[in-house]
Amino acid sequence: MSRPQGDQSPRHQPQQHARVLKAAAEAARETPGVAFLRPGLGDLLRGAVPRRSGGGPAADTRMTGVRAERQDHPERWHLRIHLAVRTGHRALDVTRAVRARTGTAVREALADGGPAPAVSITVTVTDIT
Amino acid sequence: MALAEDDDPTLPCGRTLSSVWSRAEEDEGAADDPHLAECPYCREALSRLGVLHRYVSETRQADEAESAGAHAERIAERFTARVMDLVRTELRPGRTLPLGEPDDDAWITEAAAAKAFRTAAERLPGVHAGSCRVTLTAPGGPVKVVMELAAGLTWPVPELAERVRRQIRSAAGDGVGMYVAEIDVRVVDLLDDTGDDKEEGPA
Repeated sequence: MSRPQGDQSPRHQPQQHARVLKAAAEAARETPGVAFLRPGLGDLLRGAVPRRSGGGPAADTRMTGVRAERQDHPERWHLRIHLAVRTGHRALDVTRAVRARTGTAVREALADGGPAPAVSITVTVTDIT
Repeated sequence: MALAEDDDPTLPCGRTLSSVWSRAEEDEGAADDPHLAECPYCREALSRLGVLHRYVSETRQADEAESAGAHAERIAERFTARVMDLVRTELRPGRTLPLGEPDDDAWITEAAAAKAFRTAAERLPGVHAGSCRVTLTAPGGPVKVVMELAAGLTWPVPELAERVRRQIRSAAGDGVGMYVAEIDVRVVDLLDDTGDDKEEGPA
């Protein structure tokens, strides 16, 4: 699971990070075959821990089941998505659909008229339920 | 297995999540610990642990309703298996294994794959799956599956092993999307058929 090395903090553009996370989470959650983003217990428990690194609520770099890392020069994004697949759906097919939908959603969220940044996505199935 | 740093976050009060759980689980730990009683971060973390307790409670009630009249031992076995499934998938997910091709950048935790394979094996009458390890035979795959199971006395062991292999291979290909190179089935116990509510033995 390679990932880009570089700026992993949200300090430069927290709102952009928040937009990316929101777009990715919504797209993944709405993909057929996805039961939920990452089995809940761990995240529920971690939910007691504030995850802000400055810049207010929009600076969160984590959302349940989704993490986003940005690398500058050139700008590129890497997302890691953890999810549970519904029984009856083939896990591999669901991950492919999630990658496609999430990639589209994130590119749209980042669109500002300039060159589109590269977006890579790692999807991990943590449960079949 | 030690928790990775990322899996054992430190609360704003300075205590780790695991230490809070451990302290609260001690019979007199919470009562003797004023910090635990008063700290809003520790209290919040403990209240969220209630999710697991509710799951256990609901599962126990469902089993009792479904299996009224069945043997208590069998109820306990199923209950334990379900709780262990939860623990494996959520707290001890194990290593990640590749799905599909390298370009897919898709992965599955060993616990999730093992759960799928145990479920597939248990579709056979009288089969109770136990330990299931899924490991890479080479970097990038394919994988090897080692499953231990118990089954009714009416199963001829060679036929049982072959049927279980078929079930696992089918689950891996059709349900998961993973190429399995080798399946090692170990029958570790033969069960008395009486009292099981499934049809026993080969169909």
